[in-house]
Amino acid sequence: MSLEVKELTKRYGEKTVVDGLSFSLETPGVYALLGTNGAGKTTSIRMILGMLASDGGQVLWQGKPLDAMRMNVGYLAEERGLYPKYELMDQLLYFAKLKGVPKETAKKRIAYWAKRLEVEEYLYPPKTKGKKAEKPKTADQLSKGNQQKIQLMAALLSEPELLILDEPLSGLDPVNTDLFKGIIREEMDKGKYLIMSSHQMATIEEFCEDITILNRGKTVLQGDLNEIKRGYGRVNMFVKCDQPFEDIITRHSLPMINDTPDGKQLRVTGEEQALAFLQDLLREQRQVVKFELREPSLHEIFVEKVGGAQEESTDGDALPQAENGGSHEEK
Amino acid sequence: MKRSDYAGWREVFSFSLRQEMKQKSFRGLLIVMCVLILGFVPVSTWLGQRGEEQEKATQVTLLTVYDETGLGIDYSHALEGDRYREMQIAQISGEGFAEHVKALEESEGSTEMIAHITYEEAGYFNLTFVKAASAALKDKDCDRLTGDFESFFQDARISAVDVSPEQLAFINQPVETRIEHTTAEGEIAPEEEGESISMSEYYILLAGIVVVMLIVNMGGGQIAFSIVTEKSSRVVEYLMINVRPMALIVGKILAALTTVVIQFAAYGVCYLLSNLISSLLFGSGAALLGSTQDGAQQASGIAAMFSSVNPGTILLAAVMILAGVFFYSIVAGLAGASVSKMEEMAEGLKLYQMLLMVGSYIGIFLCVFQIVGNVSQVAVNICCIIPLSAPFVMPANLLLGKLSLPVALASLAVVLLSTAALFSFTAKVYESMIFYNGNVLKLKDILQIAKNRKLAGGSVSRRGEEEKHHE
Repeated sequence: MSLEVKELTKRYGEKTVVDGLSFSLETPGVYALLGTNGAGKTTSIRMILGMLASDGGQVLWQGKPLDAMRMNVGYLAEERGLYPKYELMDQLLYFAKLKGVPKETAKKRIAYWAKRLEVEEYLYPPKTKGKKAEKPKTADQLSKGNQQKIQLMAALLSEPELLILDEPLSGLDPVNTDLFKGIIREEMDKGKYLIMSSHQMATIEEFCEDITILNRGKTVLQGDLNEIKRGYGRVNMFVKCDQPFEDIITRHSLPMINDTPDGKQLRVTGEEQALAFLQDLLREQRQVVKFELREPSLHEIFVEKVGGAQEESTDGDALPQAENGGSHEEK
Repeated sequence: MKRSDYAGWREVFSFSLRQEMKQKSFRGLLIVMCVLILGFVPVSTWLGQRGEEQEKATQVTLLTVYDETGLGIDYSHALEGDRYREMQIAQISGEGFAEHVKALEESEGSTEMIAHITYEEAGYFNLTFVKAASAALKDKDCDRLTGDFESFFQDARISAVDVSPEQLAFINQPVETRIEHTTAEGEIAPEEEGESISMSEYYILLAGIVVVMLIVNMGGGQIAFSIVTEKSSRVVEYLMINVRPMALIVGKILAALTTVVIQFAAYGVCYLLSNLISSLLFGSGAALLGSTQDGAQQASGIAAMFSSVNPGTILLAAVMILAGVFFYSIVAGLAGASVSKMEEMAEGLKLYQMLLMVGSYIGIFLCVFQIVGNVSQVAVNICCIIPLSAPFVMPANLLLGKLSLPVALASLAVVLLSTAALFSFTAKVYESMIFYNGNVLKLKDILQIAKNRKLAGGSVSRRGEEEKHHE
């Protein structure tokens, strides 16, 4: 077991902002920390990194208390930060030096990542023959996306064993999102441990096996994502027919989740109900263009869990409770 | 506080120092100041020499004296020496002053002056000097001539009543007036310590306060700006996984201190070079002080004032200034950490500026009271014991010999202890403040943070933070 977070708690006055968070990363990979704004993700990350003192709990790395200053940790903060008026190269060399990376090694790594992240022109201003060399760029001369790339470079310069990415893809265009995803995948392939927080559920599904969903500091769902999904069962039915079929929906009392030109999304209790619905469609000779039955998406689980916990009420549209969703936990 | 709390301060120090020295504003100010200092001594010496040359001989060619006092003074030797070698003195006992003045008015570019001496019924001597409106004479030249003539007249009118030169010298001795008070035993009380200071000492004390304030403010301002920049740009988030808050603030203070030392060292070197240039251009004896007779007197006067200076006192004064910079830099660091946005920096720095003003104003008021002679040594000692004012008061007073060594040592000890206590307090609240993203924290909020932390057994907790803290 490499990273273990045990009963991590943080209180501000009377308010508990993180309440007994526990999870572990036993093998290399990406662990997802999900939650709405203000759920306690960043506070948890700050406590894991030792930036913020906790009011209880432990963070262990290889069985010993984690000290971010002693071990090699990379961190991309949610609130991006670079010195606005200092040269980018100076800043990267400084961050590398703080991590104990020798200058020459840092320079080589900066060159590699600059090429990989396509920011060479900002770090190595081109020299035009006969003209005065351009001044090195400062952070305030870069777009938000490019600043984010420089910060990712800073997080990766020390080749960290543990990489914590707080909302790494927020604010990026599709091209740069793919670039970042490629790098995250590379780090996974290198056998690194990653903790990632994100609001982009599709990205989490793409990378993460294990997740924790936080709501107002409490863990509302935790475990292996595939097992969680399996626990919910195939309850999402997507149907599109050439003829209207609302009458059959009413007959089966199926809740409608979405109605789009691409078809209707309906909630079923299980495969048997879906099959009975399909049989009715065929018996009544409705031309079925699309029929798909699948598990709920992470987005749906997230909204159901967090929305449900916030409203403290359930209605007919809610997902059925998972039967064996890993260490599925309700607090 | 563990040793690991300071790990990484060297990296912070070297980066902060390099970046500060790369700033255009720093380089610009340094260059401008160095150029000004380099030019200061040669230009001043040149102007001084020019003025001296101009003053060597008076431009007045003729002084006509109309004496109606009847004292029978002989004015033929009234003004002597190199300055008046080319000048003639004509003495007229009778009338004709009014006609002479009229004739003088009509002359163009005249270099003549008229002196009219009378004894008025009201009971005083009247010396009137007249020059033509279009006279080619400078006021400074005329002032000096009239001054010298008046000095002669003062002595001459006494000599006119058969007073010997010895008696005259005796009469001219200075008069000192004092008011003493008696003791309970009916004796005159011994003179109290802390008698008034001279004008030169006053200027030196005042200059000492200004210099220390400049050093403190340069360092403090730099630190506060740096911390607010890191907070507002969120760089601090990244830094905090590599260095502890105290290492961050120590590195910054030392960098600011080094920057100030570099600046003042550069100014010092430029001043020495300036003297060297002046000597090369105007001769070895030419320097700002010592180039003229007055200057030489001033130089010897200043040397006399600093007669009690020795390496020990210099070291004590220097350590006190450094301790003062440290003390105020920590306050500036706290003030900087209480602000989240660059635009709120002025508001956040109010506490720091207020303390700085209180400290320096105590020093300035003490100076004023010292020159009036209305302050006892006890008051000076108290001002040296107050941590806010000690860095401004102690160094100059010690170098001028106005402070005993035990008091100076006690003063330094108090400032060092206060700095250590403030540092310890800062260590407790800084971590909470550095992640704070709300409105500017007031002093009571900072104290509340410290209190909450104590109650929480060392964990971080603060009032109202949950609403303001970014998640």
